Amino acid sequence: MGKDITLDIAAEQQEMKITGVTGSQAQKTRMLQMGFTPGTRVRIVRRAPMADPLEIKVRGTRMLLRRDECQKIRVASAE
Amino acid sequence: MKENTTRPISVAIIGNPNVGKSVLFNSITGASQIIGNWCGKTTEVCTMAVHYRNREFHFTDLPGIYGFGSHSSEEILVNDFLREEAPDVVMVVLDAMNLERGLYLLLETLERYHHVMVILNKVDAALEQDVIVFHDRLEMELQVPVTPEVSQGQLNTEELFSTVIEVADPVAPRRSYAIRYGEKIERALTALKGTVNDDAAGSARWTLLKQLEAKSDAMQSEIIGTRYNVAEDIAARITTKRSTGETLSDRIDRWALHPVWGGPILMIVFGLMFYLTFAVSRPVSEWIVEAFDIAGELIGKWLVSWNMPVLLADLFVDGIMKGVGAAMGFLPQMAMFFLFYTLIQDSGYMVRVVFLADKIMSAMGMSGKTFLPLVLGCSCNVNGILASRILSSRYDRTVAILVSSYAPCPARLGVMVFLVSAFFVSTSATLVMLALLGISLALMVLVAYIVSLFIPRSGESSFMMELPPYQKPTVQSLTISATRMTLNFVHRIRNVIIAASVVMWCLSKFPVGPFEQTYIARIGQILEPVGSLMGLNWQLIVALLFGIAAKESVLSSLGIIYHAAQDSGNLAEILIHNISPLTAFTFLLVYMIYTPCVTTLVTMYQETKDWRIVLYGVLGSVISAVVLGSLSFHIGRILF
Repeated sequence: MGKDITLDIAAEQQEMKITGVTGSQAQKTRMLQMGFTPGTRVRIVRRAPMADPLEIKVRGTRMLLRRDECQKIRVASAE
Repeated sequence: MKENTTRPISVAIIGNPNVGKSVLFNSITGASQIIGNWCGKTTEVCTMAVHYRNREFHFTDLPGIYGFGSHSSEEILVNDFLREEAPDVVMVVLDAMNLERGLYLLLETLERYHHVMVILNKVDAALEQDVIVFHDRLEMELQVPVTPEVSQGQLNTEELFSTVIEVADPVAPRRSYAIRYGEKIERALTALKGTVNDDAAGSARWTLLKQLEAKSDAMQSEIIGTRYNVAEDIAARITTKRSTGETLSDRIDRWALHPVWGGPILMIVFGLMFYLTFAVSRPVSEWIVEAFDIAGELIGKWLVSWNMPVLLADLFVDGIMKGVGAAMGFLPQMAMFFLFYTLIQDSGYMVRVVFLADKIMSAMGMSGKTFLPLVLGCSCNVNGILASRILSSRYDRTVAILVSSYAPCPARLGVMVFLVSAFFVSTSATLVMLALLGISLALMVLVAYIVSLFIPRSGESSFMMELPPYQKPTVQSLTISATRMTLNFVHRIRNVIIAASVVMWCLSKFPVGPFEQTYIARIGQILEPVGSLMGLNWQLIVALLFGIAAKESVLSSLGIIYHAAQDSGNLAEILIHNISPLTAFTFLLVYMIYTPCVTTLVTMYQETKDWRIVLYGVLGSVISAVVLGSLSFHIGRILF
C-alpha cells in the first residue's frame, strides 16, 4: 500500500481505499455513518467548475463533498 | 366514527434523507406533504392520526438520518422523539436504489429496538436499472417483516396495517438482533454488561455500543465499519448483481455536470423556466385582473342600487376588489413557477444546481443551496423565502430568507423596465438596468456578511449530500404539489392583502378632498426631509408608500398622484416632464431596495416566527436605500 494522501488531491477516476477519517467528532461520525469507513473504496468522479465541490463514488452511490470535507478523508491507492 | 377502547398504535417512520418517506407517508395516511429530492427537507416532525379497521394509528414522519448519532440536529430530534414518545412500532424505510446506507440504519435500529418493520421503497426504479431486490430474502436474513412497494409510492395498505398491528403486539415473541463485532469490542461489552438495562431509549447492548463509540475513536470506527460490512454483505445477498455500466443518469450528468457546459446548461434551464412561466401566465394574469375589475364594477353598481353608501361601495370596488385582483393576477405565474420548481426538485436536477453553484455562492458567503431560494426569489420573494426551508443551519436559513427579499421580483422588474425605458434609451437603459441589478447583488453579499457577524457560520452545517439518480416525476405528484403550494400561498396572504388594501384605500381617500390633503399625502409630506436627502419629492415618497402594500402598485399610484388619467396623456410623458433622469434613477434604486412588500414580510415572519428578523429585514433595507439613494443623488449631481 502506498502513502496516505487526502481525498481532495486524488486523481479523478482513480480507485482509492479509505485509511481513516479526521476532523471534529461530529464530522467524523457523520462521515463514518455515510459509509466512509476505513477499507472502503472511493473514487473521485468529477470536480465542479473551480474544483469545488467534488463528486465522489462510494458504496455504489454518488456523493457531493466540499473540498474541505474531502481533506478530512485519508486515502491510499487501492491497487 | 365508532368509539374504540383500544389504545392508538404509534408508529415512528425513519429512514435516510430522500428515501421517499414523504410519498409513503402520503399513501399511508392520505395526508399530503410535499415530496422532494432534498436532504433535511422535513424540518418539523409531523404526526398524522388515521383510522383503519376501527383502530387508531399515529404515524410520525421523522427527519432523514443516517444513523443514531447525536451530532446533527436531525439525529438529536429523532433520538429525543424516540426516547420521549417510545413508539409502539419503528418503521424503517429502505430505498432499493441505495440499499447499503439504508441497511446500515436498519441494522442499528434492529440492535436498538425489537418492534421494527421495514418498508422497501423504489423497487420499480431499481428494476429499471436491472437491480432486483428480493424482499423475502431480507425478511429471512434479519427476521423482520418487510413490506415492499407495489408501484411507485403505493403500498398494500391491508398488509401494511396488519403488520403494524402484529409488530406492535406487546405479547408477541421478541426477536433480538446482534451483530458480532471484533474481539476487543465484544470483550468491552461483556465487561460493561449489567451496568445498563433495556429501556425506552433502546436495548442495553445498543446503549453500551454508543458508550464505547463516545469513549474511543478507534472503537467508533470499528463499530460503524463492522456494521457497514454486514450491511454490504446483506445487500449483496438480497440483490442481483448491480450492473456496472453507465446508467442514463450518468450519461445525462456527463453533460449536466460538465466543468464547462454544466454552467451554461443550468442557465438555459432556468432561462427557459422563467420564459415559459411568464409567456404562459401573462395572458391569464391579465385576464384575471380584468375579470376582477369588471366584477368589482358590476358588484359596485349593484351595491349602490341596493342602497349601500357610495363610499362603502367604493371601498369594496376600489379598495378590496382592486387589491385582491392585483394579488390574484400573480397566481398564474406562481402556479407555473411552483410547477417548474417541483419538476426541477423532484427530478433531482436541484442537487446538480447545488453542485454547480456552490463555489460561487460560498464566495459570496452563502451555501450552494441558497442558490435555489435566490433564483426562486426572482419569481416572487415569497417563493424564495418558502424555498429557504431546504437549508438546515440557522445561518444559511437566515441569510437565504433575508437575501431572497432583495431578489428582483417581476413586480419590481415591471416597474423598473417601465421607468427605465421612459427615461433612458437603448445602451444607457441597459446599463442602468444592469447597474441596478448589480447593486442588488452586492447588497445580498453585504447582507450575508452582516448576518455572519451575528450568527456563527459553521457550526452544525455540513455540506456533504447524496447525488441521487434522476427520477421521472409523475404528472400526478407535479400537479398536486403545484396546486397545493399555490393554494397555501392564497391561504396565507388573503387576510393581509385585504387588510392592506383597506388601509391603503382609507389613507388615500380621507379626508375627502384634493389628493394633497389625504392622510397618505400628509405622511409623504412629513417624510419629505428624508426624501430631500435623496432628491425625492413627497409625491415620489407617497408612491413608495403605496409600494409597501404591493410593489407593482407604485406605477398606478404615480398615475394617481400626477393625475395621469385625467390629463389623458400617458404616464411616461408626464413623469419625464416632472422629474429628471437622475431623480428617476435614484427613485428606482430606492424603490428596488427600500423594503419588501407586506406579503413578503408576513411570509418572513411565518417562516421564522421571529419578529426581529422581519424588523432587521425592514430596517436594513430602508437604511441601505436611504444611504445608497443619497449617494446616488449627490454623486450624480456632481457628475452630470
